Amino acid sequence: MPGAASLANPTRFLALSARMLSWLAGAAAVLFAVGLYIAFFVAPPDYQQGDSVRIMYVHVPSVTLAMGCYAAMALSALGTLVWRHPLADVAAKAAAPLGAAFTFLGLVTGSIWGKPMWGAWWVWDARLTSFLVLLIMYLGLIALWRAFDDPARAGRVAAVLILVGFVNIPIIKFSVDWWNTLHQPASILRIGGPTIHPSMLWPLIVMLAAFAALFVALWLTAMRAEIYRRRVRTAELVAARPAALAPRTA
Amino acid sequence: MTHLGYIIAAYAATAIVLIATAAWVTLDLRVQKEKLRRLEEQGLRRGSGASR
Repeated sequence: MPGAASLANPTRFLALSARMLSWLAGAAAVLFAVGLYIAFFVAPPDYQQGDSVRIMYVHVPSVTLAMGCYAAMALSALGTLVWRHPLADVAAKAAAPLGAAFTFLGLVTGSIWGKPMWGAWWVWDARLTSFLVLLIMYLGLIALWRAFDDPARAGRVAAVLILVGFVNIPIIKFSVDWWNTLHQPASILRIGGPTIHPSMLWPLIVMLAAFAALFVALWLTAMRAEIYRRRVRTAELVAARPAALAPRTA
Repeated sequence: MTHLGYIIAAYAATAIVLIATAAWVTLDLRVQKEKLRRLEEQGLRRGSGASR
């Protein structure tokens, strides 16, 4: 059975990911079709929030993927620093823009949901502020990778920053328990089980699966692009080498 | 349906961001593959066996 070690070969990864991509894209399309149908036509409106609760079916998957993506980047950072896995840095770098997109989406859909429910587009409470910090961290990491010419060096520096920044993930998760926030407390991943009625929980689970399938498909595609980018860079460096080594003339 | 405008705005924003991200990632992959193909057509290879 192929494990992480066998995927250390980028060429093998490219072959395997090419086979997986069409399946993942197909799964995402089917899950989105089913999820959107049951979110709009099967799931009932909330007794307090009315139909605005349907925003939950895109907001919760967005924020879950935003945080899950950062956790995946933290694992990749460990792979870079501890195991020196050749694809770990590629995985982390490829995930960062996707994480930023899902975080942005979480903030936008949350704001659109907040206006009719709270009467405000934005409040500086602990959950919202710590989630905004997550977006800033993603953007900072993207900028950091672009600031270095050498991808291996950039990868090591970024890995340290990713691990330091991981402290924000439990802060986001538990902010609604630790502080008084306008944001509601956890209602899905909590001790004692979800507090959402199954008629609303199942559409949410299907939409979560759809978002996850799309995320993995995009991540693999972005990793493939990053591998090719590094191959282009190496080929260009090799092409420039003879000129650089040529004897200098006055 | 209550709050229809907010619901449409949230789903439209989601569709726009996800489609734009997917398009950007797919386009980036095509650009990098094409760059590498052109370099290899010029005889440039990675590693010590490179030739110009």
